Amino acid sequence: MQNKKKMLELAELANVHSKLVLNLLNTITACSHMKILPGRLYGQYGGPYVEVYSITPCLEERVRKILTAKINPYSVGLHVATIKKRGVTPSLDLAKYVTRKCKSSDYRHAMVSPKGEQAFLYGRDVFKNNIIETPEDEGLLIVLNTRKEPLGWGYLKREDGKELLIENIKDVGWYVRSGG
Amino acid sequence: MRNSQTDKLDKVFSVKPSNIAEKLAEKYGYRPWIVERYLEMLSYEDVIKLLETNEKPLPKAIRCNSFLIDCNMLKERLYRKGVELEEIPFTKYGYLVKRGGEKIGYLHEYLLGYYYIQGPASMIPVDVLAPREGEDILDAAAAPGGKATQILQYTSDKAYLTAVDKNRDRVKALRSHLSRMGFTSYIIIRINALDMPRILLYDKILLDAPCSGEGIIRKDPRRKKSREILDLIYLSKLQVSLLNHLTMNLKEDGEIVYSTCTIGVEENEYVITKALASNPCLEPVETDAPGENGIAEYSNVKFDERVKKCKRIYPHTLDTEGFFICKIRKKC
Repeated sequence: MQNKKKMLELAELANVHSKLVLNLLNTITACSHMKILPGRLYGQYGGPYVEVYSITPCLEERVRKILTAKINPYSVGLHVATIKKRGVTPSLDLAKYVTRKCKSSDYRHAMVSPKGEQAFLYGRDVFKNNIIETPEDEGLLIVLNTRKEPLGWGYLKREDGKELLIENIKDVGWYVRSGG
Repeated sequence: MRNSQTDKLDKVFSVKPSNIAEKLAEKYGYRPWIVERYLEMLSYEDVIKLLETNEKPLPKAIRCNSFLIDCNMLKERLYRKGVELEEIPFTKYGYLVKRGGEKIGYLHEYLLGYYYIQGPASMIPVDVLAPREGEDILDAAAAPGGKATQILQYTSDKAYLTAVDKNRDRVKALRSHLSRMGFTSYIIIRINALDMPRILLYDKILLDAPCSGEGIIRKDPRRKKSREILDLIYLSKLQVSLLNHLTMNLKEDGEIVYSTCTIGVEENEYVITKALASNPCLEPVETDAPGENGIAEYSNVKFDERVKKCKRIYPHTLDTEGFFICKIRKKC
């Protein structure tokens, strides 16, 4: 069996992947994609999953030059999401970007208490008594603290149709736990 | 064939420790040849001050990320959590951590990207680089990202930063810090800076070169003994190659800032002199950075006079790490 290491390759995002990303954006925000994404979508292909980036036209010009020199960038522009076999995971960069670009009424979010913030930033789920504000329906959302600062991504669940729970998807504590 | 000028410069690597150097080295736990070089550079009184300062831990410092938060607000928020900050006079967003330093690596404000933990002197090279919005900037040894994040902070994420590093793990940390601090106008390349293709041209380049780290003995006292003179020969060769190579990636009238966290002439004035000799288009530029002027003469070796425009920061003068910073313009 050949044990050849696959080379990563940055390229414009395939249509099928673009649709997945745009669907993700539609589920979390009413803001236009133009407002959230600074530019064209690119994907880092060749690895176990696809890393999706959005690049402004000016930065894209520079990226193209680098690609012409046969160098594949490791990371470019706004990291939007990671596409794995089981679905799309939004990035922490995207949470920050959405909260900067859109009004809080325009994106799905939950607000948690300082105790909930503490738990969430340790990678834990947040339970009902530490949840201050949520949308009605279950699903992916941005978790905010009481200052409306983005703490990461969570998934709102209503267990037995009643009890609230925010499942931790990814939180900014990741930067010290795994970011390097 | 080696020319005689090069031979003369290479004398900086012949160090014979004197009795005084031997005694001081024994007292403070250094290799004698290291101390001998300090005695060549500084007065005896200053050598003692330097060695004494190196016995004290480096003051903790942070750089407030003004891109995401008002620095007065950060100061207030940290104060309420038991962290007291004091402005560093010589750099715009730098603060010394006067109290509560043990917490600064894991506070929520850190996770939210509101500051970067960075040595006070290591903030100066980007001040000297003076990046501006719209410029193409290369950070040639960028990981873990202190100076890369500083460049994008100073330009409100509106410069086009190419951040290069060859180490896989360090590149991961670089991306993590750029992301944590909210920046997006960058391209990270995992490559040896010596392999940067010539077609990529930049307005400004920061080369915070790999070095022996003699300036950060306060952070890592093992460095008093961990290096041999042969390491300096290897490192200075690498530094000269990097500087010569990267000047080819500089646009005409572009500027490169060469910096190291070391205070020996071998990795600093020697390197600059070599680069100036091999490229007549390069011209060092005066800066208003703090510190003392570069050393033009050392142990009967004469460097290019223009190295006086470079700046040396000794640990004992500003109570920081030791640093060397030189800004060079490419005239043609």
